[in-house]
Amino acid sequence: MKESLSMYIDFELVTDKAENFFVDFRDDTDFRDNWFYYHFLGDIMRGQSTPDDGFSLRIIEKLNNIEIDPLFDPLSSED
Amino acid sequence: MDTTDLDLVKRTQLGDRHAFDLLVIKYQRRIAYVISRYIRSPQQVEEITQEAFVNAYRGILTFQGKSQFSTWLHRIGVNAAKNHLSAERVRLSLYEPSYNVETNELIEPVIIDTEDPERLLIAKQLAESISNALKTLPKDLCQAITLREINGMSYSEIAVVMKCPLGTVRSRISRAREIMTDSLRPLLEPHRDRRAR
Repeated sequence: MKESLSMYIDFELVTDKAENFFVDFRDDTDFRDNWFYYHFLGDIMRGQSTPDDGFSLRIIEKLNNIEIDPLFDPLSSED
Repeated sequence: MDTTDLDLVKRTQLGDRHAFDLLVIKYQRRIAYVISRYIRSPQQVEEITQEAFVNAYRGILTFQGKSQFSTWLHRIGVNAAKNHLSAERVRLSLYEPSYNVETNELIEPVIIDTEDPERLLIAKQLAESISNALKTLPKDLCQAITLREINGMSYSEIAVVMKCPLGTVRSRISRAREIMTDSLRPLLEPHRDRRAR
Protein backbone atom coordinates (compact mmCIF):
# COMPACT_ATOMS: atom_id res chain seq x y z
CA MET A 1 0.00 0.00 0.00
CA LYS A 2 2.78 2.45 0.91
CA GLU A 3 4.44 2.36 -2.51
CA SER A 4 1.07 2.90 -4.21
CA LEU A 5 0.29 5.76 -1.82
CA SER A 6 3.68 7.30 -2.55
CA MET A 7 2.92 7.08 -6.28
CA TYR A 8 -0.63 8.38 -5.76
CA ILE A 9 0.78 11.44 -3.95
CA ASP A 10 3.21 12.05 -6.80
CA PHE A 11 0.52 11.71 -9.52
CA GLU A 12 2.37 8.64 -10.78
CA LEU A 13 -0.39 6.08 -10.28
CA VAL A 14 -2.20 5.58 -13.60
CA THR A 15 -5.74 6.90 -13.56
CA ASP A 16 -7.74 3.69 -13.36
CA LYS A 17 -5.52 2.36 -10.57
CA ALA A 18 -5.69 5.72 -8.78
CA GLU A 19 -9.51 5.62 -8.74
CA ASN A 20 -9.54 2.11 -7.31
CA PHE A 21 -6.82 3.04 -4.85
CA PHE A 22 -8.83 5.86 -3.29
CA VAL A 23 -11.98 3.74 -3.07
CA ASP A 24 -10.08 0.86 -1.48
CA PHE A 25 -8.32 2.98 1.13
CA ARG A 26 -10.54 6.02 1.75
CA ASP A 27 -11.47 4.80 5.25
CA ASP A 28 -8.12 3.21 6.10
CA THR A 29 -6.35 4.71 9.12
CA ASP A 30 -2.83 3.99 7.87
CA PHE A 31 -3.66 5.52 4.50
CA ARG A 32 -4.87 8.72 6.16
CA ASP A 33 -1.92 8.86 8.58
CA ASN A 34 0.66 8.35 5.87
CA TRP A 35 -1.13 10.79 3.54
CA PHE A 36 -0.60 13.39 6.25
CA TYR A 37 3.00 12.44 7.07
CA TYR A 38 4.22 12.18 3.47
CA HIS A 39 2.79 15.57 2.54
CA PHE A 40 4.08 17.14 5.74
CA LEU A 41 7.60 15.84 5.06
CA GLY A 42 7.52 17.24 1.53
CA ASP A 43 6.29 20.63 2.71
CA ILE A 44 9.05 20.85 5.31
CA MET A 45 11.69 19.83 2.75
CA ARG A 46 10.53 22.63 0.46
CA GLY A 47 10.45 25.10 3.35
CA GLN A 48 6.74 25.61 2.75
CA SER A 49 5.48 24.39 6.04
CA THR A 50 4.06 25.91 9.14
CA PRO A 51 3.48 23.81 12.27
CA ASP A 52 0.12 22.05 11.98
CA ASP A 53 -0.99 21.49 15.60
CA GLY A 54 -4.51 20.41 14.73
CA PHE A 55 -5.12 23.07 12.11
CA SER A 56 -6.42 20.76 9.39
CA LEU A 57 -8.84 19.19 11.86
CA ARG A 58 -10.29 22.60 12.67
CA ILE A 59 -10.81 23.29 8.97
CA ILE A 60 -12.39 19.87 8.43
CA GLU A 61 -14.73 20.41 11.39
CA LYS A 62 -15.73 23.82 10.07
CA LEU A 63 -16.54 22.27 6.69
CA ASN A 64 -19.02 19.96 8.39
CA ASN A 65 -21.42 22.91 8.50
CA ILE A 66 -20.82 24.04 4.92
CA GLU A 67 -22.78 22.97 1.87
CA ILE A 68 -21.55 23.02 -1.72
CA ASP A 69 -23.23 25.97 -3.43
CA PRO A 70 -23.66 25.61 -7.21
CA LEU A 71 -24.02 29.38 -7.59
CA PHE A 72 -21.01 30.37 -5.53
CA ASP A 73 -17.82 31.37 -7.36
CA PRO A 74 -14.92 31.76 -4.90
CA LEU A 75 -12.99 33.88 -7.41
CA SER A 76 -15.79 36.25 -8.35
CA SER A 77 -14.25 39.09 -6.33
CA GLU A 78 -10.71 38.49 -7.56
CA ASP A 79 -8.70 41.59 -8.50
CA MET B 1 -1.05 17.16 -14.54
CA ASP B 2 -2.17 16.67 -10.95
CA THR B 3 -4.28 13.61 -11.66
CA THR B 4 -4.65 12.73 -7.99
CA ASP B 5 -5.97 16.19 -7.13
CA LEU B 6 -8.33 16.04 -10.07
CA ASP B 7 -9.58 12.65 -8.94
CA LEU B 8 -10.20 13.98 -5.43
CA VAL B 9 -11.93 17.11 -6.75
CA LYS B 10 -14.24 15.06 -8.97
CA ARG B 11 -15.17 12.90 -6.00
CA THR B 12 -15.83 16.02 -3.91
CA GLN B 13 -18.04 17.41 -6.67
CA LEU B 14 -20.01 14.15 -6.51
CA GLY B 15 -20.48 14.60 -2.77
CA ASP B 16 -17.58 12.65 -1.19
CA ARG B 17 -16.33 14.83 1.68
CA HIS B 18 -13.54 12.36 2.50
CA ALA B 19 -11.94 13.33 -0.77
CA PHE B 20 -11.94 17.05 0.09
CA ASP B 21 -10.61 16.29 3.58
CA LEU B 22 -7.51 14.81 1.93
CA LEU B 23 -7.08 17.99 -0.08
CA VAL B 24 -7.34 20.02 3.14
CA ILE B 25 -4.69 17.85 4.82
CA LYS B 26 -2.48 18.16 1.76
CA TYR B 27 -2.77 21.89 1.12
CA GLN B 28 -3.60 23.68 4.35
CA ARG B 29 0.03 24.29 5.31
CA ARG B 30 0.90 25.56 1.84
CA ILE B 31 -2.10 27.88 1.72
CA ALA B 32 -1.37 29.10 5.25
CA TYR B 33 2.20 29.73 4.12
CA VAL B 34 1.02 31.78 1.12
CA ILE B 35 -1.39 33.78 3.28
CA SER B 36 1.32 34.39 5.86
CA ARG B 37 3.19 36.34 3.15
CA TYR B 38 0.37 38.89 3.36
CA ILE B 39 -0.78 38.56 6.97
CA ARG B 40 1.64 38.08 9.80
CA SER B 41 -0.67 37.37 12.73
CA PRO B 42 -0.78 33.53 13.12
CA GLN B 43 -4.34 33.74 14.40
CA GLN B 44 -5.49 35.74 11.38
CA VAL B 45 -3.56 33.46 9.03
CA GLU B 46 -5.51 30.53 10.44
CA GLU B 47 -8.84 32.34 10.13
CA ILE B 48 -8.16 33.38 6.55
CA THR B 49 -6.89 29.93 5.61
CA GLN B 50 -10.11 28.45 6.99
CA GLU B 51 -12.07 31.01 4.98
CA ALA B 52 -10.15 30.06 1.83
CA PHE B 53 -10.98 26.36 2.25
CA VAL B 54 -14.62 27.12 3.05
CA ASN B 55 -14.82 29.21 -0.13
CA ALA B 56 -13.10 26.51 -2.17
CA TYR B 57 -15.46 23.84 -0.86
CA ARG B 58 -18.61 25.94 -1.33
CA GLY B 59 -17.55 26.79 -4.86
CA ILE B 60 -16.00 23.45 -5.81
CA LEU B 61 -18.47 23.02 -8.69
CA THR B 62 -16.95 26.06 -10.42
CA PHE B 63 -13.58 24.28 -10.65
CA GLN B 64 -13.53 22.82 -14.13
CA GLY B 65 -9.95 21.59 -14.34
CA LYS B 66 -8.76 24.40 -16.64
CA SER B 67 -5.88 25.03 -14.25
CA GLN B 68 -4.21 22.88 -11.63
CA PHE B 69 -6.31 22.57 -8.48
CA SER B 70 -3.34 23.88 -6.47
CA THR B 71 -3.25 27.03 -8.62
CA TRP B 72 -7.00 27.57 -8.20
CA LEU B 73 -6.73 27.10 -4.43
CA HIS B 74 -3.69 29.38 -4.27
CA ARG B 75 -5.70 32.14 -6.02
CA ILE B 76 -8.56 31.70 -3.55
CA GLY B 77 -6.10 31.99 -0.66
CA VAL B 78 -4.49 35.15 -2.06
CA ASN B 79 -7.93 36.59 -2.74
CA ALA B 80 -9.03 35.95 0.85
CA ALA B 81 -5.85 37.59 2.17
CA LYS B 82 -6.27 40.64 -0.08
CA ASN B 83 -9.94 41.00 0.90
CA HIS B 84 -8.88 40.91 4.53
CA LEU B 85 -6.26 43.61 3.94
CA SER B 86 -8.80 45.77 2.08
CA ALA B 87 -11.23 45.44 4.99
CA GLU B 88 -8.43 46.45 7.35
CA ARG B 89 -7.72 49.54 5.24
CA VAL B 90 -11.39 50.54 5.36
CA ARG B 91 -11.40 50.00 9.09
CA LEU B 92 -8.29 52.14 9.44
CA SER B 93 -9.76 54.88 7.25
CA LEU B 94 -12.54 55.10 9.83
CA TYR B 95 -9.99 55.11 12.59
CA GLU B 96 -10.01 58.15 14.84
CA PRO B 97 -6.42 59.05 15.68
CA SER B 98 -5.66 59.04 19.36
CA TYR B 99 -2.88 60.82 21.17
CA ASN B 100 -0.89 60.18 24.27
CA VAL B 101 -2.24 62.71 26.78
CA GLU B 102 1.16 63.26 28.35
CA THR B 103 3.38 63.55 25.30
CA ASN B 104 0.68 64.56 22.78
CA GLU B 105 2.20 62.06 20.35
CA LEU B 106 0.09 60.06 17.93
CA ILE B 107 -0.56 56.48 19.05
CA GLU B 108 0.01 54.30 16.01
CA PRO B 109 -2.69 51.71 15.36
CA VAL B 110 -1.49 48.09 15.43
CA ILE B 111 -2.49 46.39 12.17
CA ILE B 112 -0.52 43.18 12.30
CA ASP B 113 1.06 41.11 15.01
CA THR B 114 4.65 40.05 14.95
CA GLU B 115 5.31 36.45 14.03
CA ASP B 116 4.96 33.98 16.85
CA PRO B 117 8.52 33.09 17.99
CA GLU B 118 7.39 29.70 19.33
CA ARG B 119 5.93 28.68 15.97
CA LEU B 120 9.06 29.89 14.20
CA LEU B 121 11.18 27.79 16.57
CA ILE B 122 9.04 24.68 15.95
CA ALA B 123 9.27 25.22 12.18
CA LYS B 124 13.05 25.58 12.45
CA GLN B 125 13.34 22.40 14.55
CA LEU B 126 11.24 20.47 12.05
CA ALA B 127 13.40 21.69 9.17
CA GLU B 128 16.62 20.74 11.00
CA SER B 129 15.26 17.31 11.87
CA ILE B 130 14.27 16.64 8.27
CA SER B 131 17.69 17.79 7.11
CA ASN B 132 19.40 15.42 9.58
CA ALA B 133 17.08 12.54 8.62
CA LEU B 134 17.96 13.07 4.95
CA LYS B 135 21.67 12.80 5.77
CA THR B 136 21.16 9.40 7.41
CA LEU B 137 19.34 7.95 4.39
CA PRO B 138 21.24 5.74 1.93
CA LYS B 139 22.56 8.02 -0.82
CA ASP B 140 20.30 6.69 -3.60
CA LEU B 141 17.18 7.11 -1.46
CA CYS B 142 18.20 10.62 -0.44
CA GLN B 143 18.83 11.61 -4.06
CA ALA B 144 15.52 10.17 -5.26
CA ILE B 145 13.35 11.88 -2.63
CA THR B 146 15.23 15.17 -3.06
CA LEU B 147 14.79 15.16 -6.85
CA ARG B 148 11.08 14.50 -6.35
CA GLU B 149 10.22 16.82 -3.46
CA ILE B 150 12.60 19.72 -3.99
CA ASN B 151 13.24 19.61 -7.74
CA GLY B 152 9.71 18.48 -8.55
CA MET B 153 10.86 15.92 -11.12
CA SER B 154 8.60 13.17 -12.42
CA TYR B 155 9.58 9.55 -11.86
CA SER B 156 10.64 9.15 -15.49
CA GLU B 157 12.88 12.24 -15.23
CA ILE B 158 14.42 10.88 -12.03
CA ALA B 159 15.01 7.52 -13.73
CA VAL B 160 17.02 9.30 -16.41
CA VAL B 161 19.05 11.33 -13.90
CA MET B 162 19.74 8.34 -11.65
CA LYS B 163 20.22 5.95 -14.58
CA CYS B 164 17.91 3.31 -13.12
CA PRO B 165 14.57 1.66 -14.02
CA LEU B 166 11.27 3.37 -13.20
CA GLY B 167 10.39 0.64 -10.69
CA THR B 168 13.57 1.40 -8.76
CA VAL B 169 12.62 5.08 -8.58
CA ARG B 170 9.19 4.16 -7.20
CA SER B 171 10.62 1.95 -4.50
CA ARG B 172 13.40 4.38 -3.55
CA ILE B 173 10.99 7.29 -3.09
CA SER B 174 8.51 5.17 -1.18
CA ARG B 175 11.25 3.70 1.02
CA ALA B 176 12.73 7.14 1.73
CA ARG B 177 9.33 8.42 2.86
CA GLU B 178 8.75 5.37 4.99
CA ILE B 179 12.14 5.60 6.73
CA MET B 180 11.83 9.35 7.31
CA THR B 181 8.29 9.04 8.64
CA ASP B 182 9.30 6.27 11.04
CA SER B 183 12.35 8.12 12.33
CA LEU B 184 10.54 11.45 12.67
CA ARG B 185 7.19 10.13 13.88
CA PRO B 186 7.74 11.27 17.52
CA LEU B 187 8.48 14.77 16.29
CA LEU B 188 5.67 14.87 13.72
CA GLU B 189 3.06 13.19 15.90
CA PRO B 190 2.02 16.34 17.82
CA HIS B 191 1.14 17.89 14.45
CA ARG B 192 -1.01 14.97 13.42
CA ASP B 193 -4.77 15.34 13.66
CA ARG B 194 -5.54 12.11 15.46
CA ARG B 195 -9.25 12.78 15.25
CA ALA B 196 -9.20 13.82 11.59
CA ARG B 197 -10.59 10.58 10.21
